Amino acid sequence: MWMEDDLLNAPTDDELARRSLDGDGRAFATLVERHTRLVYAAVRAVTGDGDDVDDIVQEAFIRIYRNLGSFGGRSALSTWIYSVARNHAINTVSRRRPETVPLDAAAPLASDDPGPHEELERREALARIEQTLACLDGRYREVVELRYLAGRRYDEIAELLGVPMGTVKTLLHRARSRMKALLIDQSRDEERDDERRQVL
Amino acid sequence: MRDDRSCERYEELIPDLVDGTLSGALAGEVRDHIGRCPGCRRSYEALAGLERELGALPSLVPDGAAVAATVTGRLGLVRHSRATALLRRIPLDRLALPLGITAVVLATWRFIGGIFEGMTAALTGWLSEIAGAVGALSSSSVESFDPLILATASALMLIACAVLSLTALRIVRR
Repeated sequence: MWMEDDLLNAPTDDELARRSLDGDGRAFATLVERHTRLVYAAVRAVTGDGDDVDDIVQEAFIRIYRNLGSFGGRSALSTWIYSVARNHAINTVSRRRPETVPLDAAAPLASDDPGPHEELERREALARIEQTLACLDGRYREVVELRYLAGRRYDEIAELLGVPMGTVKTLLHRARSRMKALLIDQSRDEERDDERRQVL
Repeated sequence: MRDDRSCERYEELIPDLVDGTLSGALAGEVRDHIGRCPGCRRSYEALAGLERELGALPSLVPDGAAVAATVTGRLGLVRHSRATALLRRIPLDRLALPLGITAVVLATWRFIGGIFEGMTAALTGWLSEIAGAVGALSSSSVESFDPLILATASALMLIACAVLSLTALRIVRR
């Protein structure tokens, strides 16, 4: 019951934006907390997984804060936030050196303390998913990250991307089929490697 | 037994089944087929497995509160309440400097005036005015103050004015 009241009393995004413009730092902090996953999805859709994702996300939020006054209210604030973050990520990537070193998703696992067995398995699964995500074309990755990383519904994704809901569904189905195929290939490769190791 | 034509149709419905967006009857039909067709079952299991693995993606994102703390820190935003935010709207940047300068000029003027009129008399008069304003001291008691004490009090007031001005400027810069 209290949770329902809490939700009803929660300020809207527009109200938080107005209060942020009035210098209410707490209101802007709430906006950041509320849209962290969305902004990560926007940035990762452009940059993929990388060491500088956190920095780009923070800079995107700073840009969002400095440009709050230009939000005209023609769309939902979340749509505007997504577009500012995405544009910022695109600009940052285009300013980068062209010869970027591809990331080895397995590398951080090797240097980290594996901890309990389940945690290691979870991290391996995550690394596998990240590798697979990196193989997807931009739009497919974007939809998958909005759906699973940002936890958005189909209609929300459609609004964010400015496409019909049917397109979102199709993109997501295709992306998952592609990921499924990649994961199957990956596990076959791993099986083959295991067999080779046993023979040797 | 695999029937390619019907399998093709079910393959298309499997993602919806995993999403939970199929109607009850249709979901039942697809589940029936999956139960009978090993190929479609493998496809369903692979997709359901992928769905579970994708469910772990949010753990890649740091806690929103931590991100908010870093961002507001980088912006130099103090996480004020609404009331404090309203107070911050008072244009201290426009008021602080003129107020500070006025205070220092007034104090200096009174002090210099004291040199011409006789330092002791001026300071006594000044303190009498202040004492009268706050009602804490009577003019008769002020007249009996030692000149050294009066000079010290005046110097302290000048320092206080300067400190107030500097503090106001620091608030504005923040």
